[in-house]
Amino acid sequence: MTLHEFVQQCINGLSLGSTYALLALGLAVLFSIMGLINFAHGELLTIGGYVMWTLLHHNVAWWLVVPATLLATTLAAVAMERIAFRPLRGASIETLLVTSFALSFFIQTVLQIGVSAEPEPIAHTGWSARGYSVGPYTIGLIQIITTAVTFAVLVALTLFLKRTLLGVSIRAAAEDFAVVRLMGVSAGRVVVSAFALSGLLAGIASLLFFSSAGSVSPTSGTPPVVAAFIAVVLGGLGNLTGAVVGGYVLGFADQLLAAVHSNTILQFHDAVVLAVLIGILLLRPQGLVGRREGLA
Amino acid sequence: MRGLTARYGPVVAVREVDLRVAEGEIVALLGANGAGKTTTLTSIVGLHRARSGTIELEGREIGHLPPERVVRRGVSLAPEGRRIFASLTVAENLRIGAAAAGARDDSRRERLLELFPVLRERLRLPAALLSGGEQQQLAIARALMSGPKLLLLDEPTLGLAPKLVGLVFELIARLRDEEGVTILLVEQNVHQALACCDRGYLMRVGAVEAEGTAEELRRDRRVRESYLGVA
Repeated sequence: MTLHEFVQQCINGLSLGSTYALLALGLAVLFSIMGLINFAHGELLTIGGYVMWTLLHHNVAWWLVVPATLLATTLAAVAMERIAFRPLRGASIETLLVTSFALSFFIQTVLQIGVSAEPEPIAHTGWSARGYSVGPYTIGLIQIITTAVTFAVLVALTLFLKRTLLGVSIRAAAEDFAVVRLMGVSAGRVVVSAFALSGLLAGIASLLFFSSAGSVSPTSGTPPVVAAFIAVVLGGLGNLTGAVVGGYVLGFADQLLAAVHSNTILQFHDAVVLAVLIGILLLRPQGLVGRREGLA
Repeated sequence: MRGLTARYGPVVAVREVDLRVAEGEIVALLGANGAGKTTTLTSIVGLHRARSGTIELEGREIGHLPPERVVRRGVSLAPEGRRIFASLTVAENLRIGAAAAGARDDSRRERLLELFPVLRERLRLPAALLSGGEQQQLAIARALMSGPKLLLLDEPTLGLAPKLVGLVFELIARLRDEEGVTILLVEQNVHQALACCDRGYLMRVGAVEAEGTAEELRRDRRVRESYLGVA
């Protein structure tokens, strides 16, 4: 691989990693306070895609599509909590995990029956396909937007978690939920807020992801959320910084490996990426950022 | 509190316990490990749900409330093992402590920082970096941020060096004398607990075995034999 290819793949990795990071953050927020690995998180992404498809199909302007999509995924996440997870408050990690799988399949099936199993096209807007040449490198406008939006979201999220009482409560709940309640913070409020936050993050990821993906199908959300889950594990389960780091590491690894591979092993792309993950976890079982007692 | 019974599954940890704490008092809850002291406290604040009996604060029943509502009524617990939020700063720990008080009350925080000057120096540090004694002060200050009428302290001197144990008891007495806080104190340091409390209860395998003023308990044969090491 030439230096030119390397830099180009790093640029691509930055925007792919951004999408992973946003999804991984949503997963990590829920895991950190409830011990829930929400595999239905991918369906939030999918729902966002269908909202975009429906609205763009009816020629709704972009400045309306953005808030509508964010609202839809946030409400969908809150509804998931209300309907599926609230009745299971205090249940074991395994029960919650199985529930999230059931929820995931349920939403996929509803979309297959209610809409179609076939992919629906999401129109490329003029700008999302635009690219810029910087010296020998090509940077897509959507890549710039994805990276910039993700950085802005990370800054905003950090401010929220550090400056607001709700944000501080969410971080405290990740450490010791019972004591947060002792301080007078409502358990329900923290959990609903965490779901809403994960839905909002999924909505942002949705807008960025489907702007370049070009189509949405009932299973669109699965591969990205599996990648995001890997990113979460890589960064150290339940650690928000780790989720972001994991997302970017995975994004870079993915793009660099894609460039190195000769055609014969291209079909083993995922296997190689996962082998790298296993290698990292063998060296650092607690994840890249996780503390050694991370899960305790 | 009357007739409190609390269970863990089929195991009865606390059986028919009656306790009374009057305003402005320090009441000590004494007893060996497993006597049901901690369960009594977690039952009062609603963390331990498998319980029966009545728990009243100023004549109003609070026994059915979840923890976040109990603290809003004015009962605050500094739990066993301190359980401060280690990755949060000292200031953030105090901020969460004030969650029940609703609006931010900077004057209370100021007063507490005067009472616990070491915390003021450490406000921006992660709580994990505090020493054991400092963490205990933080746990107590955090519990006081809600402005409780009744403060429950669960083994506040556990694991502290002897010099710090004295400091904590001194602080507890000051809280009553200067701040007018009513305190229910669970302690294994029986000698020092009796030196600073007004009244006390001695628990044994889930029931109250003896009760009385600090002076009466100091003279009580069971207390002397079991806890004060004198016959």
